[in-house]
Amino acid sequence: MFETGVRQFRLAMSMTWGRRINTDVLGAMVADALATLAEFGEPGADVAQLVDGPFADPAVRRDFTDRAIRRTAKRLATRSAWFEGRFTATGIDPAKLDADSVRRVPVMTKADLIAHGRELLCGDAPTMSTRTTGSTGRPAEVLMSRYEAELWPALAALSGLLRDEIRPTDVMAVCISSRATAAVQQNISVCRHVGAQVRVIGVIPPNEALDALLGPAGATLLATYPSYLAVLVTAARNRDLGPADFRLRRVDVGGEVLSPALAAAARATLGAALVNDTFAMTEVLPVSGRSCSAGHLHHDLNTGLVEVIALESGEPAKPGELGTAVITPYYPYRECMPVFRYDTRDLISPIAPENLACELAAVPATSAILGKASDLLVTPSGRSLHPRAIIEALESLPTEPWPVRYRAEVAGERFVLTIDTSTAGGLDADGVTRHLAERGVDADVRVVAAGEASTLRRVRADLSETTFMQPSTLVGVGG
Amino acid sequence: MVDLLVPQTIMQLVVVLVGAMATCAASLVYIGRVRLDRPAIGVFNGRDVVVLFVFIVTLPVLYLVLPHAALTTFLILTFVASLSIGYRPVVPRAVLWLAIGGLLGFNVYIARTMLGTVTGWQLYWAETSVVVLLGATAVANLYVQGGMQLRHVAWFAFGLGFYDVTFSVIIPLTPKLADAFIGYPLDPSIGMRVGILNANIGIGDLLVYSLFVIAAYKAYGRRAATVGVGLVAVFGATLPALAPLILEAVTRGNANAVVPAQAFFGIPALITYLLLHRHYGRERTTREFLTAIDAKRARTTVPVSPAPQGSLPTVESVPAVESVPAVGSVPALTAASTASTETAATPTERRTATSTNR
Repeated sequence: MFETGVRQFRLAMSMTWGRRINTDVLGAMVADALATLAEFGEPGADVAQLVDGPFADPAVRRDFTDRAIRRTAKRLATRSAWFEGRFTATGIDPAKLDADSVRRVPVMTKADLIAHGRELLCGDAPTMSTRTTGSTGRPAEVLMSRYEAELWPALAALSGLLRDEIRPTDVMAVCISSRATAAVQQNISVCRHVGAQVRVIGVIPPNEALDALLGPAGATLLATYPSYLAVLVTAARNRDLGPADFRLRRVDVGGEVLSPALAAAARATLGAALVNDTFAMTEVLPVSGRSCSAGHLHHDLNTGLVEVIALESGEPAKPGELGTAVITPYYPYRECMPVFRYDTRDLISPIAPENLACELAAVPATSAILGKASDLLVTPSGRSLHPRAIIEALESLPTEPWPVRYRAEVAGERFVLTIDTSTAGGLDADGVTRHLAERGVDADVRVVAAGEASTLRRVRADLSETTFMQPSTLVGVGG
Repeated sequence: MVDLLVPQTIMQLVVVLVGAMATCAASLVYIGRVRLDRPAIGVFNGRDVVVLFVFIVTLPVLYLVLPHAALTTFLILTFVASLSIGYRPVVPRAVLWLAIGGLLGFNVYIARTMLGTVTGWQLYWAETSVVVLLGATAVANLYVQGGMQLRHVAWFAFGLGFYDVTFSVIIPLTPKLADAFIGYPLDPSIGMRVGILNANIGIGDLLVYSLFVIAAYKAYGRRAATVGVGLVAVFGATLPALAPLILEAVTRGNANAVVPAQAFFGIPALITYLLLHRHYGRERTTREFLTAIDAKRARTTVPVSPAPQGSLPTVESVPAVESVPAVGSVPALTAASTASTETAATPTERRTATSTNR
């Protein structure tokens, strides 16, 4: 107990003064948390402040943010010519930045990351290269140091344990693309810290993944994409599997829009009490967000600055206004290949603090991710329609078309959605239009033959990995 | 010498028995009814025992070199910390601070103005004894509710046995320490004076005894606690109190004695723990203990037969005392703050048992 106090003090000092965190100390704190849970069954008082920080007080939050921005900017300017040039070109002194003036620094784009990747290096030598999955275009390479590879999972393990998101008795199934190495590595390391089992399954044929989830030794946690969750739910239903066949207690999804219809179906079919819509992105690791029971997205203020920048003006979006998430991971959480004001192009909308009444109300929140800015439909008169609205409306169709595939366009002042006949089911275009209208989506609908489906929306479940479990479809191979 | 030593020994026996039993009883009542807040993470473990031991070895030396004003200030801070942490769950905050201020302030007042008479001494000891009993009860519960196990207590007592012998008989640090507290505020002991006879038992010993009893209760239940109480009565109170009659090494002058009580208690405590462990097996975790307490409480408060709705008030289990934010709560991951203040509740001294004829 005394040692734990000393470790917490050391960690607090590192965080407060912006010094590198001793990952051995952090690992020992995870062990302390495990011992605490074994002895008491739950963490003690003030656990929320321990994991979420003292951010209920706006003044404290502002002071912490200002210092973290300055610390991060100064470090970047002194260690990377690219960042130095960026600050110099705009006449900004990194030592004088704060949460307001930081907006004068131009946002970084994915193109910057791809074009100048190695010029961004600021810290220890990279030990791991990870790439984005490329679902939104050319993959970007992100380099990680050993320090980061140790720090991020230890932080996640500590907060996961204290929030009861993971237990030593858990078995985690990881059904994400093997190319998402950062996420896979993170999940494996978190389980190692906690002492939980991990099964890296990948995006394989769904029946094989289901086999790994089933039974008394099956997974208790599942990390995947909404679209692959949809594939699993559908496959489970096709096999007449139900909640009694699984022992999942939690499903974490991210990277795509999760519709309430799919979440409900996953709960009903897979038996998971909680289907959690999380936010994480390789480029801005380790900054993440978690959803509350009200569906808000609460960003982690400890590790980074999350701005919502209005699409048109580039100014901070007002509550209710559509914007894009611009994220700056702070030092000492991101040090090898940092980004500064990275424009994720993820659409979100700020929520006024006074309108928050959820269990995480002390932490600022935005709407859930509404889709990518590039997928936002805007008519000449300025009416807009975001992917979440479309997906939520279409995935609630009676055909349960999970994951829904569609194409969305603007034709004059009208939005036009194209779906195939398997999605529409017994409904004709007018029927689907009415269904959408009842859910607040004012769009025209075209229904095309199933054969045209290849031109419709692609999802991460399409990043499929083949196995040898199923009979070969090759002709003339073998004997 | 014999004329004084016998009545002094009887007096010592009574004071030590009453003090030890009262502290153990209070600690048992407390652990059965009050839940202390604890830090978000952290469990008392074997290394904490070592830390405690280091405190115990080094603090007495510090006490001896400190000026009396500093020592009194240190004692006040220690008692304020232990009493405020221990009794916040049971006493409204405003009342608590008034009570702590009153208790400690009155003690200082008595020590400075009323020790010229036997009645003054008796008032001083009565008041000091209440403070010490409350403090020892709170700290014992802080540790045991913080995860300290019987195993830890047993080895702790075993180690203290060697410490006590070393610093009472071989290097006379403990007698000097006992002398240093005489006549000053907040002598950390339970004691009493009758005529010229003066007897007391130090808070360190009381803490070890109450730790052993409630840790046994937490680990193995009521029967083990009863065994613990018996062990304290015999090896923690009676034998040390009677020791001056047969051990010249612990006496000073006519009837003055400083007995290394843990030398009598440490080895039996360790043996008792080993026997209990052999008999019962693994110690219960705090969670298992609390679950058992809650279940028992629920059983004892459920109506014998179901009452018609609305005809009788619902019988509810005795509510756990409201928890409050702990002074000892851990720092936020992002906040600059100090380590757990539980270190402030460390037994600040372990004056050994039985000093007499002050």
